[in-house]
Amino acid sequence: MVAALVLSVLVVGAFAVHFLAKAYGPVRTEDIAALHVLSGTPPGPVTERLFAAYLSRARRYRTTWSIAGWLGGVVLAVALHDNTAAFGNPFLTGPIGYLAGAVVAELHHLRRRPHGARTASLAPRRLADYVQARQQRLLRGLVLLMGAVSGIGLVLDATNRSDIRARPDLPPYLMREAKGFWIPLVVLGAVAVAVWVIVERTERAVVERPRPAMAEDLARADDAIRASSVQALALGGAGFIALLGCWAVSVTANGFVDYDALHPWALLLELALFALAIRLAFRARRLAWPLRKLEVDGAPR
Amino acid sequence: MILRVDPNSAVPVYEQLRVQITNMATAGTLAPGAQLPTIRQLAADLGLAKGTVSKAYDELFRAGVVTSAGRRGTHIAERPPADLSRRDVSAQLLVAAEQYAVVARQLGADDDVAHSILDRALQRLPSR
Repeated sequence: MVAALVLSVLVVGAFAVHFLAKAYGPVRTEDIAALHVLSGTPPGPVTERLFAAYLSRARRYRTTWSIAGWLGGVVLAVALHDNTAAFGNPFLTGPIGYLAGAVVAELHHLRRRPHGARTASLAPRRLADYVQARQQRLLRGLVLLMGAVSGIGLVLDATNRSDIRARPDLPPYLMREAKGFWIPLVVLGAVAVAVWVIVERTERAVVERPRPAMAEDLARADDAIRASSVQALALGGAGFIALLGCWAVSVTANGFVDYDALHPWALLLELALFALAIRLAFRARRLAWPLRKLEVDGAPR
Repeated sequence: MILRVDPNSAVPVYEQLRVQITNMATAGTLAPGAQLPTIRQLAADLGLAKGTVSKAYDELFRAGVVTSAGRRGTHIAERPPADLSRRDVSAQLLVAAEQYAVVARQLGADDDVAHSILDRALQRLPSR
């Protein structure tokens, strides 16, 4: 077991060192210039410093927490001898770490109170100004889908158990399944709702983060930073909930006694949700790497 | 539009907010129907308690300066109580300028320096 643990940690550790070196390295001027282009902010020494500080902080927090999640998942998977347990699976603990890092990075500077006279703009800031409506709809839609999958799974589980109890002639391994799979479904549903609430609350905290009155170019840079943060949270949250959905479908399909009937559809849904999660994860990550984002998505019109 | 409050002033903070928003509404610099920030946003931006901003908004609502549309937010009333004439605007600016001039003299600043600092302060804020 020790050898497996050491080998796993070494493999993940090699990736970790590579990503940490990139995250903790200096922010390249090309990335700062790309963020100016993406946000339509006129370049200037102050906005350059602002963007560099923001990108550095976002990368450090998101990467460090993400790697802590991946490594923790590997260690737990080996220690528990079970990579199907929710907290012993790096594919789940890694994204948890990423999301936690994104949340902590945004809440880090919220509690600063100014001294003396203070200024503020009377322009209202709305969440819709910083995140696309379809990104928010996707986040909420995935929570609903997760609820639907959990609900269907619970109904199937109840049917499953009553069918098995009515058949005392069934082999013992099937009788054991009469215990059902409702507990992981309830846990996954609860985690999805908790993630959704945390993401939406953090998004609002980012929008309401204190901002003194400032010149227009600085205000635009500040808006760009808020937009990047809110979108990373929305995309990261949606991606993680898609992963949870994938997991819930898998639990339901594998637990259901008529596995063959459910399997093709479940597999299709699992693959779709997994692909969506991967796509959202890459889009969320690109937000902290504006040059890559500019290359992939192009400049906004 | 900029708000500035000084918690160390003898004038209560909610009163400073009320007076400034009333002035901007009556002078027309805050257009009728313009939406004001939420209480949470303004309290966070100014580092104040939400109750302080809420009290100022309540006073403005009672005076007919703003209207409240529940979740749709607080807006400047279509017809704020009275118009602030150009003379009133000049008079208020003169009072503030005299205070600044006194401080500049007390500190022995040159007129050029005082003018350039005022210009810089204006440039650091949005035009409207």
